[in-house]
Amino acid sequence: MISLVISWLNFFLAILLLPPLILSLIRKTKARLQNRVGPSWFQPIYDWSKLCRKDETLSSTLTWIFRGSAALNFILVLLLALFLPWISFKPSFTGDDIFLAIYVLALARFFSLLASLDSGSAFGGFAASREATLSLLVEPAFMLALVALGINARSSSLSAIFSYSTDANNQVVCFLAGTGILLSSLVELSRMPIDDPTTHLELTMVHEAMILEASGRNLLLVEVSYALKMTVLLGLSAQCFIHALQANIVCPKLLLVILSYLGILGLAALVGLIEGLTVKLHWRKDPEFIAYALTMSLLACFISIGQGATFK
Amino acid sequence: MFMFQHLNFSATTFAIAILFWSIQVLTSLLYGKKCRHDISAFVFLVPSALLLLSAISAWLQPSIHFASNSILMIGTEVLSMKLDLLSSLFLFLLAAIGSCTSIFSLSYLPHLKDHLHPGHYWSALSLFMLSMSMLLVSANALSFLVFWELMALSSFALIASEHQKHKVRDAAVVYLTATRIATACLTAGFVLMFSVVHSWDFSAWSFSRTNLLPALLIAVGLCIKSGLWPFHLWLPYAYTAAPSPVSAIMSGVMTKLSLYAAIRILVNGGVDSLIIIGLFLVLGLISAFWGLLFALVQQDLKKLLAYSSIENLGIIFCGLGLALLARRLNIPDAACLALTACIFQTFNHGFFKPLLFLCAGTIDVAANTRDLSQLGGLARRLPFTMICFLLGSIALCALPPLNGFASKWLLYTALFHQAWESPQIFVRALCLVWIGTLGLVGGLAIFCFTRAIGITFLGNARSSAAGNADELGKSSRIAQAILASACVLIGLASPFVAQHIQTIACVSLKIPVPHASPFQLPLATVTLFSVLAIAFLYAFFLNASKIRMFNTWDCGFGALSARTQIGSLSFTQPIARIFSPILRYKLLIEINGKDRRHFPESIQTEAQTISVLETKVYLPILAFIRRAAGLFAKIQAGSIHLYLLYLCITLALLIIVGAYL
Amino acid sequence: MTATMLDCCAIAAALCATFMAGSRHLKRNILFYTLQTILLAFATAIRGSLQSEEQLYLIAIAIALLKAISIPLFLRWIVRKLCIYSDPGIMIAPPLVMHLSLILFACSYFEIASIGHSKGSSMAASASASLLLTGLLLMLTRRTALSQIIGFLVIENGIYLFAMTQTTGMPLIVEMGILLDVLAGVMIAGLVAFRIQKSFEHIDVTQLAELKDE
Repeated sequence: MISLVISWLNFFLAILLLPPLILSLIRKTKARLQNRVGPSWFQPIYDWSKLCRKDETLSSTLTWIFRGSAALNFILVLLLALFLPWISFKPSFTGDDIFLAIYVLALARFFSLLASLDSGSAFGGFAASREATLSLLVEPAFMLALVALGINARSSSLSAIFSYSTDANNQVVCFLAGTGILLSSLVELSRMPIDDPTTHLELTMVHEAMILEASGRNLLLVEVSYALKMTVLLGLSAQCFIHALQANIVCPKLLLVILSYLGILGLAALVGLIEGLTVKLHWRKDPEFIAYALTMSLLACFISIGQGATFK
Repeated sequence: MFMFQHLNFSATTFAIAILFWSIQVLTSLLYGKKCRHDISAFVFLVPSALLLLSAISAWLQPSIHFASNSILMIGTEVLSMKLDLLSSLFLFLLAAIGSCTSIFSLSYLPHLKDHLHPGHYWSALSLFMLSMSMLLVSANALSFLVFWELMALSSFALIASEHQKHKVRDAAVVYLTATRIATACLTAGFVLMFSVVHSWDFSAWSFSRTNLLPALLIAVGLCIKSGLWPFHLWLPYAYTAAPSPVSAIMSGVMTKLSLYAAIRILVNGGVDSLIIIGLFLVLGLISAFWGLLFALVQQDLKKLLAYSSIENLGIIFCGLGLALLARRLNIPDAACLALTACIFQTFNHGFFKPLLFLCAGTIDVAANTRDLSQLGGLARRLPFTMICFLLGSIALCALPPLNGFASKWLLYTALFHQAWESPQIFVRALCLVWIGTLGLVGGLAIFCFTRAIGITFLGNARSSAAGNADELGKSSRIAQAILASACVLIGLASPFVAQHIQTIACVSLKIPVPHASPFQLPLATVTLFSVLAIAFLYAFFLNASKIRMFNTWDCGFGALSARTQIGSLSFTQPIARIFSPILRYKLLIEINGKDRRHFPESIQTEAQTISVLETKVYLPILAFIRRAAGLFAKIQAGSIHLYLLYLCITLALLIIVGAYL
Repeated sequence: MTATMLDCCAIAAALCATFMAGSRHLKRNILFYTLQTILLAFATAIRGSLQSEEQLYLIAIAIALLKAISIPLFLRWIVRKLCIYSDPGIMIAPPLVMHLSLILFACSYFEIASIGHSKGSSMAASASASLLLTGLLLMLTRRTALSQIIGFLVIENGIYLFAMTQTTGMPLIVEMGILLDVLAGVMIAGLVAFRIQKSFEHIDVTQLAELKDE
C-alpha cells in the first residue's frame, strides 16, 4: 500500500518536474556550447506564469476548433503520460495498448493540424502541410519500433512489454527500437535536424509556425503539452535503453528510478547537444533522416521475428 | 406473394418491405414527372423502417430458411432464401442507410430541380433497394445472380439520373462496363462451380484445392465490383456523377455486398488456395495505399471521398485475405480476429462514408461547388455540417474513440498476433510489412482529411458562393445527425458490437465462438473522462481570461485576403512530390515579364497528376477493343439474309458442339 | 576472441554497407567503407586466433594498411580534386535503397539459414551475401563514377568475407595478389574518372551512353 502511494507521488513529481526541467536543460546545454550562461533554470516556469496572466488575442477568422484543440491536445498528452511507460515507476492501467497509444498521438496531431489551418494565415497553412508530411513519413518508423518490442514480448500491452525481462534477445531489440523511437521522436517533436525552433523566419519552421496565432492561456496549454509530450517520448526511448542495459546487469528498484530520471535528462542533453552542433537539414533532405529511423525499426523487427521461426 | 414454410415476424416484415418497394417501383414510373420528392421519400422510408425491424428481429433468432412457392421459380430451381446473422447485419446496414438517405433526400433533391426526373429516380432507387435486400437473403446462386444484375442495372440508372450532363453519361458507361465484366466473371465462376458440385445452393458449395478456377473467377468478379486496384477506375467517376444520396448508398452498401458475397461463398466454402489469399492481400494493400494517395491530390470533394472508399475497401479485403491465411495456417484466433476486423470495418465504413457523402452533397448544393479551391470558411456558414463532417473524418482516419478505430485496431491486432503465432518467417515478415504500410496509410488518411476539412471549412471563403452558403432544410441535418451519432455510439459501444460481429465471423469460419469480446480497451470510460476534462479546461481555464478579437497576423501588411491562404494544391505539394513517381506529379510554373527574375508580371502555376493506370493500361486496351470492334462491324452488313445465314451457322455449330460434348 | 565476435564484426560491416546505401555524400560513404574494412580486418584477426594461423594476422594487417588506409585516402584525394561531393542517385532515392538493402540483408539471412551450411557461420555468410548485394545496389542506383568504384569495393569486401569465413582460407600469396589487384584497379579507375571529368566536365555514368556508336 505504502509503496503504491510512493510510486504515485513519485509519478506526479516526475510529471510536474521533468517538463520544465527538460526545456531548461536543453537551453542550458545549447548556451554552454555557445559560451553563454543561458537563461535561468526556472525560465520555463517564469514564461508559463506570465502567459497564464496575459490576455488572449484571437483572430476573428478562428472557430471553436482553434481553442478546443489546445484543450484537447493537453488532455490527450496527459492521457499518453498515463498510458505510455515512460518512467519505471509508472502505475499501470488496463488498456495501455501500443496501437491505442499511436492513435491517440495521431488524434492530437489531427486537431493541431486543424487548429493551425483555422486562422487562414499562410504561415499556419504551410506549417500544417509540412507537419503532416513529416508525421506521415515517421508514422511507420514509430509504429514498427513499438511493434518490434511487442513481438519480442509476445504482447501488445505496453506494461507487459516494458516489464524488465532478462532475455538476451531483448537487449538488441530494445536498443535498436530505442534508437528508432528516439530518431522518430526528434521528428515528431520537430527538434533539430528537422526543424529549428529558434530560427527567425516563420516560413521555414514547422512547429512554431503552427502555433503562431496562439496567445495567452491558449499558448500556455500548447507549450505545456509540448513539453510534456517531449518528456514522454524521450522517456520512452530512455526506457528502451535502460531495458537493454538491464538485461546485462540486474538493477534494484531504486536504481531503476534514478536511471529513469537520468535517462530522460541525458537524452534531453543529447537533444541540446545536437541543436548546438548541427544545422537544420534542407527540407528535401528530411525524408533521408527519417529513413534512418525506419532502418533502425526494421532491424529491430527482423531480429524480433527471427526468434523461433521456421524458414520453410 | 410468398408462402412461407415458417411464418415469423422478421420474414413477414421483410416480405412487406419488399412488397412496398415493388409497388413504389411501379407507381413512381406511372406518376413520372408528377412524382413528388417529399411523398416518395416518405413512402420510401416505410419499407426501410420495416427492413430495419426485420434485421433486428432476425438477429435475435436462429437463422431462418424460407422458400417461395413454386410460382417463383428460376428454371427448375425454387427461389430459396436464408436470413441468418451475416445477412441480417448487412440488412441492418442497408435499411439504416436507406432510411437516412431518404430523409436527406427530402431537402436535397428539390435543389436539383430539372436535372432529375423524379419518377425515374424513385423507381430506380426502390428497385435498387429491393434488389439489394433480396440479394442479401438469396441462398442460391441463380437468384443471387438475378438480383446482382438487377442491382447493377438499377444503380446504373441512378448514376445516369442527371444524364443531360456529358460527364454523367460517360461515368455511367464506365460503370456499366465494369459491372458487366464483374457479372461475367461471377457467372462463369458459378457455372463452373455448378458443373463440379451439381447444386446451385451456396451451402453445398465447398472449394477444395481442385476448384481453383471457379473460386478465382468469383474472387476477381467481386474485386472488380468492389473497385479494388487495378479495377478501381469506375468508382471515382460513378460516385462523382451520381446524386449524393445515391453515392451514399453505393459507397455505404453496394460495394460492401461484394464482401458479403465473398464471405458467404468463399469463406463459407472453405477457400484456402494461396493464389486467392495472395490476391486479396496484395490487391487490398495496394488499393489502400493507392486510393489515399490519389485522394490526396483530388480537387473535387466527392472524388476525394470516392478515392478514400477505395482505400477502405482495400483494408477490408486485406482483413479478408488475412483471415483466410490464418485459417490455412491453422491459427483460429488470428483468423477470427481478422474476419471480425474485416466485417466490423465494413459495418463502420457503411456509416461514416455515407455521412461524408451526405455532407459533401450539402456543401455541393449550399456553396454551389465541390471544387476545393473555391471553398473555405464554411465552418461559420454550415456549423452543423462541419461537426458531422469532422466526426465522419475522425471515424474514417480510425482515430479513437469513434467507430473506425475499433475495427482498425482489430486488424492491427490480427496482423500483430500472426507476426509471432505463425511459425513461418515469411508470413511473419509479411505481417510486419502490412503493419508498416497500414501505418503509412493511416498517416495519409490524416493528411487527406485534415486537408479536406481545413480547406473546406476553415479559414476564409475562396469564392463568394462559399461565403454565402446556407444549411439545407432540417431533414438533411436530421439524416446527418443520425449517421454521426451512429458513428459515435458504435465507437463507444465497440466492445459489445465487436463481440456480436465476432459471433458472425466465427460461424462463417466454422470455429468455436470465444466468450470474451475481442476488443476490450476501456474506450468509453476514457472518452467520458477526457471529454469532461476538456470541457472543464475550456470553460474554466481558457474562457476565464480576457479575449481581444483582432485580425489574423498579417506581418503589418493589412488584412489578408482569401488568396493568401494555403490552397488545396499547395497543401499536398510536399507529399505529392515525394510520391511523384506514382502520381506522375508535375508542377508547371510559367513566369512572364521582361525581367522575369526580379519583376515578374504574371506567374502561373499548375499542378498536374496523371493516373498512370488510366493512360498507360486502360486507354491502350480500349483503343485495341475499338479497333477490334471496327473489324467486327464489317460483319454487320445490314442485310437480313446475311443475318439469317449467321443464325444458321451458329445453330449448326452449336448442335455439332452439343453432340460431341 | 570468440565466434560471436566474428559474427558481430561481419554484421556490423554489412550494416555499414546499408548505411552507405542511404547516404548521398561521397565522403561519408568513404568513411563508412573505411569502417567496414577495419571491421573486416578485425574479423580476419579473430579468425586467425580461432584457427591459430599466423598468416591470417598478416593478411589482416595488409588489409588494414592497403584497403582501410591507402584506398580511402586516395579516394578522398580524388573527391577533393574533382570537387564532386555528393551523388544525386538514379532510379531509386537513397533512403529507399537503404531499406531495400536492409530487406536484402534479411532475405539473405533467411535464405542461407534455410539452405543450411556445412562449416563456417551462417551469420557471417549472410552478412557477406548482403555486402555483395548492397554493393551491386550501390552501383546500380548511383550516378557518378566514384560511387561505382565504392560499390565495386563493397562487392569485393563481400567476396573476401565469404571466402574468409566459409573456407579454411586461401594461401597468403593469393590473398596478397588479390589485394594488389584491387589497389591497382581502384587507382586506375580513379585516374580514369579524373580524366573523364577533364574531358566531359562531369562523371555521370548515365551520360556515357552517348559515347556508343550510332
